[in-house]
Amino acid sequence: MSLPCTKWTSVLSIAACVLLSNAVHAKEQAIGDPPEAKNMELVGWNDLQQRSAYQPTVFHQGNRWIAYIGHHGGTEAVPRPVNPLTGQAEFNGTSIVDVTDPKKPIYLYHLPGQEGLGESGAAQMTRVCSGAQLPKGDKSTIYLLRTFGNIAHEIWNVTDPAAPKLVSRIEGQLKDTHKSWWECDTGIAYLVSGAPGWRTRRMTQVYDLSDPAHPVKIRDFGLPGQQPGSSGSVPTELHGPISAGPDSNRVYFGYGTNKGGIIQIVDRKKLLEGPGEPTPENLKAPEISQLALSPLIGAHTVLPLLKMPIPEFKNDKDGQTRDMVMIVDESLVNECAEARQMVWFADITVETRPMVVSNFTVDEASGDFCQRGGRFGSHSSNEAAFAIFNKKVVFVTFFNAGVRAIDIRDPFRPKEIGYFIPAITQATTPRCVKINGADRCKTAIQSNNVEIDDRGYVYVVDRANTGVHILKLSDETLKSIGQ
Amino acid sequence: MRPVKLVGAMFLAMLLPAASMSHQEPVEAHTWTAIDWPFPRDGWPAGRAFRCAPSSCDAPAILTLRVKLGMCNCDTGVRDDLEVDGLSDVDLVSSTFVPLAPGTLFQVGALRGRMREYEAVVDGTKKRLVGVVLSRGCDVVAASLVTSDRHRRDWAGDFTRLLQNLP
Repeated sequence: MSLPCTKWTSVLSIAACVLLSNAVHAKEQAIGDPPEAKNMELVGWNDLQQRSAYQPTVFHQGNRWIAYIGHHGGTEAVPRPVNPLTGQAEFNGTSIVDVTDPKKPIYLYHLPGQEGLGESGAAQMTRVCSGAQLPKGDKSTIYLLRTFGNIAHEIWNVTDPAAPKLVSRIEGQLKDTHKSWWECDTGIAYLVSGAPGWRTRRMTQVYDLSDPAHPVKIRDFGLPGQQPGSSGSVPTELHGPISAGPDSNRVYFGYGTNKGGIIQIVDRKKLLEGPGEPTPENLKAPEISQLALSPLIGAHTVLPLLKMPIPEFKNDKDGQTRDMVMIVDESLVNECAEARQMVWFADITVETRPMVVSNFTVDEASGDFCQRGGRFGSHSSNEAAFAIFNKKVVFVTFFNAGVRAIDIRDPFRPKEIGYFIPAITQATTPRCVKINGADRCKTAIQSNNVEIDDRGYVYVVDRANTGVHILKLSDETLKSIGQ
Repeated sequence: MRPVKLVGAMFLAMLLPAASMSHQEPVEAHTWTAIDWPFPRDGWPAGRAFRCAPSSCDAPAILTLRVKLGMCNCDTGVRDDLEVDGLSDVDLVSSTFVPLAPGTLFQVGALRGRMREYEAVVDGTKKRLVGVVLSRGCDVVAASLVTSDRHRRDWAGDFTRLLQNLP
């Protein structure tokens, strides 16, 4: 109870205090409470060995669907959880789960990562490409690209997902890694790294991974002012890029987490073929434009939604189709001790003049989310573009408000069509804030990242060790989007 | 006090009980007077700012302190000068600051981090800047100082004293 009830003396005052306290805490999650949902249903669940989870990638591999789920490091209490499959204590790394039957996901293998707690270790990122797609890959091989803590990137042969084999490793005294991108049709990878000498922990190292066994460095890239030898203000660090590929010839970079967000639209060909020496001029050359967001928000994900027909504009003589990007900020601080991090849609039809035109956030009062504990606000969206949802529905995690299904068919007026807030378990780790110098902790779901597969299943993973929840939209909701 | 200042003061109060446990003593006891936050609104709430008159500090100086929640690696703390360059607020004084030397370790009670000196030209005049970033858990206290370029002295005691004795 957080209100100073003991200082109240009258019966009426005490009753009022109790009522108010109950109201404030009415939505706080408790073990045994059911999940909260609207138009989304739980299909299956796996606890991921109670490891804090980041990026899931679900790959249709032959006649199977395999989920590769990156992890943050362990906790002080459990820095090296036991892998029940081996009986060994293993630093958090990558969970490999067979989700062919989403009702009964089967945990196949845990691939350990770097020693370290939280974001200091583990192997948080995953991307997967087939050798049949990669220009110089082995045609029968499936490749997993993952980070190895903050010090390396690795490629694994996961053709047999229960027995991964290391293919190659990219090292180089890195200071950090994060949300990389890999083009499966070309093999070009945009690796988020902290290269030596750069004045930021996260920038881009562009590699040709078309032959995964022999990585070829193309260049380092970042914002002018981040390069070695520069001085003065340090531009906001990178969070992650998403490439629209060679046909669109664009790469969209998101800088920032919950502050100083920048969106950068880059000419892919100029980035790959331009001079690689990191001078201010060479770093600026591939840039088409920047959109500086409010300093109060960052940019975790910048998802391109190109050539979107806008129903409202269908009778207009111009501009019926728009190029958009969806920007997802990342909430970073527990219990709303920051500006609201949310989802923004920018019209980039005229690329040199990008403009934010709409936004989406969860109604805080609908769940008293600032009181529930942990982070509240957006974090991450699905990035796969399967036909079932492409340019129709996106799924965005909001930490203690679970995952939200957003109808984006009119991105100028996005609207929520469903949500799912997973139940907590005994494994869910508490989140604390300082009150007068002491920790005050609450336990709440912390839906961290989300991905979809080509069947329409939605995979939401928890930062607070509650595992992966496999969801689907209700049949009626699917019908409403034409499925 | 405007709401934004209240928020900043609240955040400082959240971290400073640790600083007040310090046994370090200030090197000198200059007279610092609280002033309004001297910078425009940016991504973080305003903190506390102080001015020292030439009669006390030999040259005019302005020192700022504020908390930036969640801005530190919770497990490693302040790792290197990158974090001082990026978080200490010296860029609010001048975006073209140039470091004079590698930073040094700095500690106030349980708050640990780094201090670094810079020079910059502000309104055509050369200035000396000092940036400090101290962390506790996932949060940092960012501090900056700007004074005359000719005024070279050790300001560590002033940072320590103001962190320990915020009114």
